[in-house]
Amino acid sequence: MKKLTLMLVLLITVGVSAVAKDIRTVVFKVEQLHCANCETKVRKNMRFERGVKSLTTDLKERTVTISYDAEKTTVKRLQEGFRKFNYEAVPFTAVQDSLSHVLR
Amino acid sequence: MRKELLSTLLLSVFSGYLYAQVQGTVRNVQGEPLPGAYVRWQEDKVGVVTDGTGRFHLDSRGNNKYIIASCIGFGKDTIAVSAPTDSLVIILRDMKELSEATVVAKRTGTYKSFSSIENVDMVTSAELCRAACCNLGEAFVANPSVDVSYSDAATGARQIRLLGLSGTYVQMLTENIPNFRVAASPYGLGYVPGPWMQSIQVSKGISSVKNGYEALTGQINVEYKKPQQSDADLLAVNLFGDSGGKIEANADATFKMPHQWSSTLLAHYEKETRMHDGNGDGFADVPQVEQFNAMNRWAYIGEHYVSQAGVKALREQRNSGQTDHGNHAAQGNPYKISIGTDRYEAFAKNAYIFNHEHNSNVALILSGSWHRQDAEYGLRLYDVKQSNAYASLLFETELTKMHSLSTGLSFNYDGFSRRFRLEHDKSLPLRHTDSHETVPGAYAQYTYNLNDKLLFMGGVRADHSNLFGLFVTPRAHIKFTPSVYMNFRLSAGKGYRASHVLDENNYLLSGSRKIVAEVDVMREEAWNYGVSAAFKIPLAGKMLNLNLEYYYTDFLKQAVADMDSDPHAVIFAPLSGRSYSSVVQAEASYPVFSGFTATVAYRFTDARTTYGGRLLEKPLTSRYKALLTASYKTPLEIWQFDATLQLNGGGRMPEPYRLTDGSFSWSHRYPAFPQLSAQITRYFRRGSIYIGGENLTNFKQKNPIIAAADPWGDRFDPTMLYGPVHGIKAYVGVRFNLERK
Repeated sequence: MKKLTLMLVLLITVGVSAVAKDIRTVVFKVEQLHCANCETKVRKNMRFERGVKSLTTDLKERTVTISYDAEKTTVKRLQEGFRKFNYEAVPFTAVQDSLSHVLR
Repeated sequence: MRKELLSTLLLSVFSGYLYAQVQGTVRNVQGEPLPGAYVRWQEDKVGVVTDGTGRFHLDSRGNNKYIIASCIGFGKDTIAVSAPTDSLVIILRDMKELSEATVVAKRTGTYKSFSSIENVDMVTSAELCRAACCNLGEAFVANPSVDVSYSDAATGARQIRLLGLSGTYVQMLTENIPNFRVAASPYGLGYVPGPWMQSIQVSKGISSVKNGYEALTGQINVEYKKPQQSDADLLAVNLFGDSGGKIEANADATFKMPHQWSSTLLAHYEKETRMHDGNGDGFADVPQVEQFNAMNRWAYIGEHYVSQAGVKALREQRNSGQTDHGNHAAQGNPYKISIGTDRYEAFAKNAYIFNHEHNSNVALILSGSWHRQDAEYGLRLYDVKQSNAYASLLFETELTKMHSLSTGLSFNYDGFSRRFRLEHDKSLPLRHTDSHETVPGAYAQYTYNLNDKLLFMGGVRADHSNLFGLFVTPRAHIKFTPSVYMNFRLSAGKGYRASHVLDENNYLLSGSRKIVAEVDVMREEAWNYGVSAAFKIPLAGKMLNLNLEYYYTDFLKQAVADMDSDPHAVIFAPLSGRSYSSVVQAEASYPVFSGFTATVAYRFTDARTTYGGRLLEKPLTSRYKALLTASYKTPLEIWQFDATLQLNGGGRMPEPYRLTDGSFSWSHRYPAFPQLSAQITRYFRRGSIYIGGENLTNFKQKNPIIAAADPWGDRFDPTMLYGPVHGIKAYVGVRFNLERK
């Protein structure tokens, strides 16, 4: 019974870490975000960037929060994504909440 | 401590004197500066004008509290200024957006206008992309108020139904100019390609007197894509194909030019490549249509003067009839239908704004069209040429915030030239008729606005027709908004029409029913009353939109199409007795969970007319309609799923007759039937791909054509149509948009 339980736990751990994507969150400060149309522009363009999982904008704070798959893209690449439509995004903080980190 | 307090106090007092100015910029919603905007303190009559970069500065004077900013083509805004500042940003909203009270965040496809006095459904381009929507006739699949059906199974003539009444009682407008009248009405819904449309406004009940007297049950206005829009694509292309063999191509390009000029070129091509007979009755299910359509429009947006103009050209060939394949009876002499149409339109709208303060402006609208339709139904022939000229001069001003006035003059000319033969007899000579109607008119409309809580709009028109004499059209609207959560509307008014029997209904010549009409042009006159209520109910943190409405249309004069008195004829005669339509509708819309919106609606119609002395339920009109439509977008809006389920209630069929074996030619009533359609869209940076299906339950009306095997005989009738002729259809399309940098 103990052996079975151990095997099961091991299997699950391996399985979970195998699918555990490295999802990170970054908050960008975007000075050009001053009106509703700017928000739409950011959403319209950034959502197609490779690796973007979710996207929220805050007009009052002028920030854009992006959750991305670190295996597919990087903060620098996301910044390049903003530059494609002439927007300058400065990363505020880079928060790492990867599952593998928790499992270690 | 006291010293610090004193110095802080002194400093604040002095800083008040140091920066005794309010400086800032006026911008539009896109963040672009607005030069030439007018800024003043609320108390002052005189103010300043923003410079080339949209900047202004006003001297602060004591108790100034509010700044008012206004600009041509934009709405006014009043801003509270609590302290002198050097970086005040005032954002003014575009005139078109102003008709909606909320900021454009995430618009659902179709929404009820909360702020307009009239009961208006706004159909946006987002809604138009939820379904195949190849043309205006297909834009109302998910709209609970508008029904679209085929008038007959042979020609593909489509009809709108609003408030239980046929589309002829709905005034069609493009760019707020009356269009697709009389000769163009049978197939007019197919002359507006889906990708050309920016938005559609469906207004139910009586509308403003500004657009004329012709709207008896409502008004549908189509706004085409405009060149002056800041988000206009440089190039947009759409390709479409369906399992029935139809292919379509659309393209539009917008050019922005110096000195505030801009232009858009739109083009459309469609072809139904196959003629198929799914139900095996030897007749084409869907006509083969080939259409070329192009439009070029220009705009000039100046500080005081706004001008828009355009030209449009269309050519369409529509063929139907007995199929040649495996149809032995037809081989010798197949019954064929051929309808060729040419249509040319031109319009110009000019507005001169001479007073910022009161939004006073003078507008001149001109439009003209030339329409030619040559139709052959077997050996019957109907050729009509219609030329139209329309002019309207309007003057509008806001006397005070409470009182507004609009007044104007209008002129409309319709000239007709016809050649026709109403029998399958080539030896009969062609008959020729010519007629024209000239209608000059004038209107005055007054609007009373009590703090946006109570609005009253009353208007009256007087027009004189060379055919019908002088007639007066009174109309009134009241809107009461006790809170942001609800509003109530009341409307009452009259509408008039000139019904042209053969020009509007010549598609009936495809069948064997004899068209009996003593006069070709008949007067139609009706009163329309409506009451509606709109509620925004907060439910589980989200807003439930609930709309309830009731409309009653009562005809004083009508050109009644009687299919009951004689099953082998359609008798057009002036109304003698009662004719009315009562419609009650309830609609609810709710964003169930993030990204998912559902709308459910139910409509009940009681429409009766006196046919040959008997008050009967209007035939081929469903008693009720239930609609459920849902849309889901993934969080990043990359995938979108849409589905619409309609349940069309049963109704009455025109009086059947007994056949030689004793049975009836068709049932007295038709059953309720469903219509299901769905679409999946995948968005890309530069466009989207969509795939979908229509009539997914494959409901087909059995025997849509009576006596289909003998079209030359006297029993042949393709007009006993209540449901779809073609079964399930699948389609796929791709959109490509190139934005301007």
